[in-house]
Amino acid sequence: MTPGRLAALLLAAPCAARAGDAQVLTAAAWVSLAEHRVDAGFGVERSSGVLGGGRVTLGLPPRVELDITATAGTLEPDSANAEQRHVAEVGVDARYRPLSWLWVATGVATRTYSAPIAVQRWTSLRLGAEARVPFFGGRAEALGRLLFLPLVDVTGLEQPELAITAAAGVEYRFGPVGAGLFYSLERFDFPAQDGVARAEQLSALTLRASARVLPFSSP
Amino acid sequence: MRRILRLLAVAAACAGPLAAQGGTADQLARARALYEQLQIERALPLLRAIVSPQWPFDVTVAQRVEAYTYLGAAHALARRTDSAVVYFRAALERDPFVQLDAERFTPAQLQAFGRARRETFAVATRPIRSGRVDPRTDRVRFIFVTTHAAAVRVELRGAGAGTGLVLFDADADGVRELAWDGLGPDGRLAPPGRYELHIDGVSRLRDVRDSAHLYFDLRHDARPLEDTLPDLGAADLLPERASASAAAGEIAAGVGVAGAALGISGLLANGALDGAGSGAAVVAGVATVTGLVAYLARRRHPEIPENVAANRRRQDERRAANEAIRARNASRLAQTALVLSPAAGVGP
Repeated sequence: MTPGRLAALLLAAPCAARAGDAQVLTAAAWVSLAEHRVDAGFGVERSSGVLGGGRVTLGLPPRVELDITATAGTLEPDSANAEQRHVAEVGVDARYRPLSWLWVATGVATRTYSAPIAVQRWTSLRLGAEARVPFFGGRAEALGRLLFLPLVDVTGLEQPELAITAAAGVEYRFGPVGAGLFYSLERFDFPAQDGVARAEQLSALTLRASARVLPFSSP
Repeated sequence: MRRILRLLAVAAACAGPLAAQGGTADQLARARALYEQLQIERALPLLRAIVSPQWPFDVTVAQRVEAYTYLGAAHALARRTDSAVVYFRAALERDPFVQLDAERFTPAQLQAFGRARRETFAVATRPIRSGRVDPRTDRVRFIFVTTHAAAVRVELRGAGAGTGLVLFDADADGVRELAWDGLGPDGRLAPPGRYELHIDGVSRLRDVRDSAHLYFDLRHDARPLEDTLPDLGAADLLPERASASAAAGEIAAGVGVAGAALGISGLLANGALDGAGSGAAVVAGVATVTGLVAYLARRRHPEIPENVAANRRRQDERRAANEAIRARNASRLAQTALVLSPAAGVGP
């Protein structure tokens, strides 16, 4: 999918909202305990840290959601061969709900790892699905997400052979506010270069709080 | 040719009754003309012929009553009062509504007619005319007559019923009109059906009584009524209590999240990177505890408040809709008109 097509899809998404349904604007903020592992042929380098992020979601009931996310933080080395890296990411996502519990999702994101010796930029397109199943009388929602990243452009690296991100967690709802706990994992397996296959992985335990900012009527 | 013969046969069959009608009417017209010319002695034979059993033509009740009336008037003019009274009584017995116009008949004739009325006792009612009556603005009119003063009781009842609505219970003399508002004894619109107007009279002058009956069909002319909404059945309402499987579903949801988190950590993570952190275990534990708490809460409080509220809302909506329907129906019923048509008797 070209960037132009993706833009067209995102622009057309509001049209899928049913006229008369109130649009919902939700803001969320989170803090993540992230752990990064990479093996570039010199053993597993481990680093971890706290990442903070935020998201603004425009809900176009009953079937569409659009959101913008931003995440930033620092990963401190946990192994001798690792080094400190600053992480920053912004992303745009769109979701469409074909079933009451299933959302089809797509999005683009760009992430920057800044280390003392280099800056590496990751740009990716993600496609997949997300399941949200309410339980506890509607007071909680079970969430599971699986996205494939068919296009990943990494500075100095080839396109990975496998790029996948998955998450699972529970979100609790208290009227217009919510809180959730999630575990997520990103895995990137790069093709071997000079006999070395680079593997990279970012996992996170995320505590997220959200609030409905405004419900406002569609024009 | 066969068609012409058939037409001739039909024409011949029709000619008899027409001639008979014409014969009586012509005879009556000739007698009336002679009477007007005061040729009484020439008019009398013509009139007697009409009321004679030997008269060969058909005679309607109205023609017979007119013949008897002119016979009485002619005899009164000829100062044969007793005979005049006899003929007037014959006319009154056949039609108690007969009247003599005071401007066309002499005082002697009127006196003889009055005596005939006193010596004859009969009650009668006019046939009801087919029609539509709006009970909000109009009344059903009944007209009855007594030949002289009498105690009269007029009762309207369902055909075959013992008692009914008393419309009149007093003395009457002559023609009287009654107005019925279309309501039954309970104040409600009379139900559709066949009705009998029963008139019972007891003479105040003589020890005789007489009665008359009038049958008619009554039906309601109203816009069709709406059906009220049926009661909400089990299929129309949401379950208000969670089933045992729903409670188990709470655990399943929690365990499902736990399994997904552990699955991501264990199966999706790259084994070459020596694991994927301990966050999955945390999420798995929290999700499992949440599912367990949800299960216990569901078992202790199986009612589903949102379903209870939704069902109450549906019941209220149905109740409001039915009240609106009932109001519209009442409005339509209030506009019901009565349609009346004559009937032959109690039943077919």
